[in-house]
Amino acid sequence: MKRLLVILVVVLVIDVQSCSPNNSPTVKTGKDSSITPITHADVERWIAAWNSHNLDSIDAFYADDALIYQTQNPEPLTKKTMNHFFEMVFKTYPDIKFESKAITVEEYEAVSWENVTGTMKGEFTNPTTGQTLAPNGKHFEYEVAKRITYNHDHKIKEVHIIFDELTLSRQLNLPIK
Amino acid sequence: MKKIIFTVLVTLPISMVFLSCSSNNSSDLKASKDTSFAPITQKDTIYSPITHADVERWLAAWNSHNIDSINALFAEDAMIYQPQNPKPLTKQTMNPFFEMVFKTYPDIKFEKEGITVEGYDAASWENVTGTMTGPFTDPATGKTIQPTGKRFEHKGAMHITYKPDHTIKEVHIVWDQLIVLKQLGLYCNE
Repeated sequence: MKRLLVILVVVLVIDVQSCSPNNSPTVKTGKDSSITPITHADVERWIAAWNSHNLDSIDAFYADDALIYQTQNPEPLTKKTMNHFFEMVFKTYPDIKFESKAITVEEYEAVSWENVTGTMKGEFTNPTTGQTLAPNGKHFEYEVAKRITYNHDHKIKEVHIIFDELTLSRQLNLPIK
Repeated sequence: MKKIIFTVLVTLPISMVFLSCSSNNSSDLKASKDTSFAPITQKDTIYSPITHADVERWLAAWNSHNIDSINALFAEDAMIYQPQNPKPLTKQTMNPFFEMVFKTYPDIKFEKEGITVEGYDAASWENVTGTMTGPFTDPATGKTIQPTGKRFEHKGAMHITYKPDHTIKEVHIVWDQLIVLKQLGLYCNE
């Protein structure tokens, strides 16, 4: 009888142990949160950083090997070259604003559809031609699509940007090369 | 000792039932997930969110150059917005425009670069190539441009919103027309 009792207790303990990992709720650790897919909040924080015009806040979103592609640019921007370019953008268009129209998110990919507005109050050096344009006080408004690829730690790995340069150039009355 | 044995014998079946219930519950959860592998009914199709397959069908229809196949993807009240166009295209006006596009660029091709879907919203990132071998009438100005025989290649971003029956409700297209005009030798500085 004692033997039977021992067997029953052992069987019960084994059953309980084998089932417990599936039954107990898991607590998210820091490691877990770093491998959760991105959400709209990641993209909204990025847009908020752009609207803050704070270069350090924007820079913090990108991975060290991040690349930013724009169809008009011959070379992608890197973590080293982006700050200088962003700084010029904020000086050229001090009121530049990024309004979110829609966000589509799936796993570690997001597409942000934005309406961008601003006024040309500072000079602008074209990264493709090196030509510097004087400010003309004109206002622009255009639609832009940004495809953002994130790393598992939610840092931005790549951004691909599409907008119509013709619309922008016409609104700002800029010469086109 | 008899009491202990009695207690164990009584609690063991209860525990086993509990464990088997837990086990059944997790099986139930698994089973409910597994129902996605069951044959899809008409009702399921209508209310299920869109997938990459919906966007792949969109791309395939465009690459078929078959106007009816493309038209069939759109809902009756569908709208196609392009920043360059003064008015959106509708189900009624889209066919003549698409027909002209295929006559202007008979080798036009839409290559998938990336698809992101969420609920009834999709983003299709495409590489579009073609050669201008036919005339093109600009919908904004009504002006007809003669073919140049030149080739273009540009990126296009399509924001596609679907209805629950998986027909397309709205498309917003973003692309850089300046790149295309330059490549086709059509841009004159204004």
